[in-house]
Amino acid sequence: MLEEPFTINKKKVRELNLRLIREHFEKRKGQLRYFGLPGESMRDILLWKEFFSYFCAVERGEPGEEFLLQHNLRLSAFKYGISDKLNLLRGELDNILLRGYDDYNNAVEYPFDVVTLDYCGGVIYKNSTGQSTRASSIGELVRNQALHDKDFLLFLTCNLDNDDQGEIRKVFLDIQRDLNKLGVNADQAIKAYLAHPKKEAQLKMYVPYLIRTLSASTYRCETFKPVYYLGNKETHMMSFSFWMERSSNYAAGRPNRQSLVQLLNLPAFECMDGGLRPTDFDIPKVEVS
Amino acid sequence: MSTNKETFKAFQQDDVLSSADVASNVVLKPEEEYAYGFIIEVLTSGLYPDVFHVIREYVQNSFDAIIAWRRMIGDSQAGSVQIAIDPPSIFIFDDSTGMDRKKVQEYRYVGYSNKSMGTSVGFRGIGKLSGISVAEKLILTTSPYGVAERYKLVFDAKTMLDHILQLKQQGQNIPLNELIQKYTTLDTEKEEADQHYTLVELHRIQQKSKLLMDQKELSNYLALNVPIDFDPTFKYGCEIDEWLRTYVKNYDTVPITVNGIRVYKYYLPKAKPPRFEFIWSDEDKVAATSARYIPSEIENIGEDTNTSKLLAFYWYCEHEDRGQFDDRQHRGLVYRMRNFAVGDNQLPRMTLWKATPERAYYFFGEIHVCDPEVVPSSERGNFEENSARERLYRCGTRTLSRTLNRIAGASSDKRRAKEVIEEAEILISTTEAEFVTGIPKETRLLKLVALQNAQTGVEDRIGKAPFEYQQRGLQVIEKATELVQKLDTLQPKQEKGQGLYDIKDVLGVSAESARMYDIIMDVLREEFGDQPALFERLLKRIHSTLEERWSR
Repeated sequence: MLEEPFTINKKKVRELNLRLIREHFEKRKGQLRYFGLPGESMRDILLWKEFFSYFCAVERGEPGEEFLLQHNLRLSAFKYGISDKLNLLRGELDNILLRGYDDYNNAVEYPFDVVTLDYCGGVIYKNSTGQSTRASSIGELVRNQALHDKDFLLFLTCNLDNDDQGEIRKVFLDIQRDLNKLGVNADQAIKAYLAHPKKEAQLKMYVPYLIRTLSASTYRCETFKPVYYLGNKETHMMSFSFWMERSSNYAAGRPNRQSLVQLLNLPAFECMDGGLRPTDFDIPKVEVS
Repeated sequence: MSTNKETFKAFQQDDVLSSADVASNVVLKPEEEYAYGFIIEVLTSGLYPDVFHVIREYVQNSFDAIIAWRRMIGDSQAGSVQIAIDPPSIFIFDDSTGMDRKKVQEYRYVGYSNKSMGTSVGFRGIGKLSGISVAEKLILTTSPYGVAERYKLVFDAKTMLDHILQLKQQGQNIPLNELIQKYTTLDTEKEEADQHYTLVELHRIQQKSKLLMDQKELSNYLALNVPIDFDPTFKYGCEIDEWLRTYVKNYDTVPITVNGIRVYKYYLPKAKPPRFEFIWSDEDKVAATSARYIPSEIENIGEDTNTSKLLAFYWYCEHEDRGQFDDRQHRGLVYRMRNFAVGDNQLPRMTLWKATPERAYYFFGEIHVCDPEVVPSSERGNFEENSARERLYRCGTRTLSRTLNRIAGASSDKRRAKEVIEEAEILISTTEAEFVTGIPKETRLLKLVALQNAQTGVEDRIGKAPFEYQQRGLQVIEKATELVQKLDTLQPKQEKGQGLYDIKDVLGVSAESARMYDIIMDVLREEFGDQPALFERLLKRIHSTLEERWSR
C-alpha cells in the first residue's frame, strides 16, 4: 500500500476506532454495514474490513473531473478484494444524506452499524442562507437510522475551519444556563472554554453537544474521548467518536447516560507522531455537589 | 483545430513512431492524412448489433492478459475478471499482467494490435474502443507487475463523437490523429510495484445502452458467450472440461463475477451423459474416428499437414426424455473458439444441418473450432467467409449433423417403440377387464381391430425397443393374439365364417385403397393414441359411414 504523508496520526485514530468497533460488535464480526467517506485509498475500510459485509462509500471527486477519484476508489476496492461489498455513491455527502440518493439516483440503503464522516472541512459549515447543511444532513442520517431501530458507532473527523458567527459561544452559554438551573455551577469551566486559545478545546464540547442535540429525540449518545492531531499538510484535525444507542421507546428527550457535566469534564487526546497524550486543556473540572 | 504539421509534431512527441509505425512499416507523410475522425463512429457504433458484445470485447482482452499472466508465473489457476455494475458506470477489472506505458499508448491506436491471430482471442485492435459506443467516457487504469506506476487513459468519448458529428453537419473532417490527441489524456500515477491489474470503466452508460446495467441479462449473456467454468451443479461439467482441456488446444477458462456473484456456463437439466466427437478435414479420418478415440492417435493434431487436420472437437448431451429441449435460448449446439462463443445456437443449425434441423434441438453442446484458419468475424456473429470456414461447414455437415441426426432418429424410434408397447399393454389390460364385465356386442369388432393393429404395431417396432421393452413387447404380442382369438369366438356366426372381421374385407376394397386405409388408421392411432375412447368413437363412425356410403 502506498504511504501517504502525515498519516501516522490518522492511522492511530483509525486504530482507536477499530478498538471501539471491536468492543461494540465483536459478536457480529463480518456482518456489519459501513457508511462513510473512505477516500480513494480506503484506509479505514481496509483496516476494518474483517468486520464488514457491506460498505457504502461516498466520493465527491474534484470539481470538473469528479469521475477520476470515484474511479480510483472503485479501483482500490477491486485491488483489495472488496469490490463486491462496495456501494459507491457519487456526490456531496450532505446532499446525498438529505436527499437519500446520490447524483445518479443510487439510494442510501439504511441502516448502518458504523458511520464515519471524515469531513475535509469544518463541521459548522453554513450555506448562504445561514443554514447548517452539515448539521441537517447528520440529523437526517440519525433520523433514518432511528427508523431502523439501529444502534451504531458514529465517527466524525473535521478540521478547525468554521464560519462561526457566535454559535459556539451561544452553545456554551446555553450549557451554562442549563446546568445552573440544575444547581451546577459551571461558570469557571465555561469561561475557561470560551477563553481558551486552542479551537480544539471549544470543539471538544461543541461537536458532541451538536450531535446530542441532533439525536436527542431518538438516541442516547455516548461521547468517547476526542483526539486532535496534525493531518495532511499540517492541517489541525479533530476526531470524535460516539456510541449511538437507540432508546427502547420513542420518549423524546430521554436523558443521556452521559451527563453534560461528564461531557464538560471529558478529557481529550493529543496525538503526536502516532502517540497519544491525554489532556484536559487546563480547564477546571465542574464539580457536582 | 491544429494543422497537419502540428498533428505530426504531436504524433512524434508522443513517441508513436517508435512502436506502431515502425512495426507496421508505415511511413507517415506529414502533409497527408489517411484516416479521419468519422471512422471512430463507424468502427464503434456500427460494429456491435448486441450491446453486450462491448462487454465481451473487454472480457476478451482480460482473458488474453490472464492467460499471458498464467504462463508468466506458471500458475494455471491465477487471475480472474470482476465486473461491477455501478450506475452510471460498468467496471471490468482483471488482475493479470497489466500494461506498460507503451501498451497504454498503443491503446489509442485504432486498428492496431500486437496480438497474433492464432494465440489471442482479440487481435484486430478495434474492440478495445468499443466502450465509446455505449459510454460517455472510457477510463482505463493499468499497472504492470514490477513497476511502481500506474497509467490512466481517459477517452472523452461523448465530447469526441459530438465534435465529429458537428463537423460532419458542416461538411468538415478532422484527422483521426488530431481527434484522438485532443480527446484522450494519459497520466502516470504512483502505484505499488507488486500490483498488477487493468481496470476499464465505461463511465455514464448511455440511455440507449441501459440494458448493460441489468445484472441478470449481463450474467446470462456471459454464461452463454465467454470462457468460464461449467456450473458446479452440472454433473457432467468436470468430465466435459477434462475432455476439452485434453483435446482442444488453447482451451481455457477464467473465473468471472458480476457484482460479486460468480457466473458459470449454462447447462440444461434432464440431459443424458455427454458424448465427444471430432471433425476432421478428410473423409477417411472421419469414417475412422466416428467410433471411439484413442488419445495417443491425435497427439499431433493439426500439425502434420500431410494427414487429415482436426477442424473441431465437439461434445453434446441428448435430451434424457423425449425430443427437443424446451429452453429455446440454450438448446442446440454453439460454435466456440478459444472458448468464446461465435454466433448463437442458430448458427450450427443453419450451417451444418441440411435436413431435419429440428433434431439439432434434441441436444445441447459445443463445437470447439480448432482450425486456426477459421476466423471469427468482428462482431463474432459468424466466421469470416473463407475456404477454411467452408471446409468446416462441409465436414461438419458430413459428421456432426449426420451423427446427431442418427442418434436423434434412433432415440425417436426407441421412444416410439416404448410408447407403442405401453399403449398396447393398456389396451390389453382394459380389454381383459372388459371380458370380466362383458364386452358390448357393438364394440367387439372395434376391439378386434384395435388389438390386431396394436399387435402389428408392436411387431413392427419391437426390434427398436430397449431390451426390457422387447420382453414386454413379446408378452404383448402373445396376449394380443390370445385376446383376438377370444374375441373372434364371440363374433356372430355369419362373420365368424369369414374369419376376423375387417372393414376392408367387408367393403371389398382394392389393394391400393386398403393400403390407404391402413395409413390413415396409423396416423389416427398415433394422433389419438392417448385418447382411446375418442379413437374408438372415431373408428366406429368411419366404419359405419364407409359401410353406408362405400357401395353407392
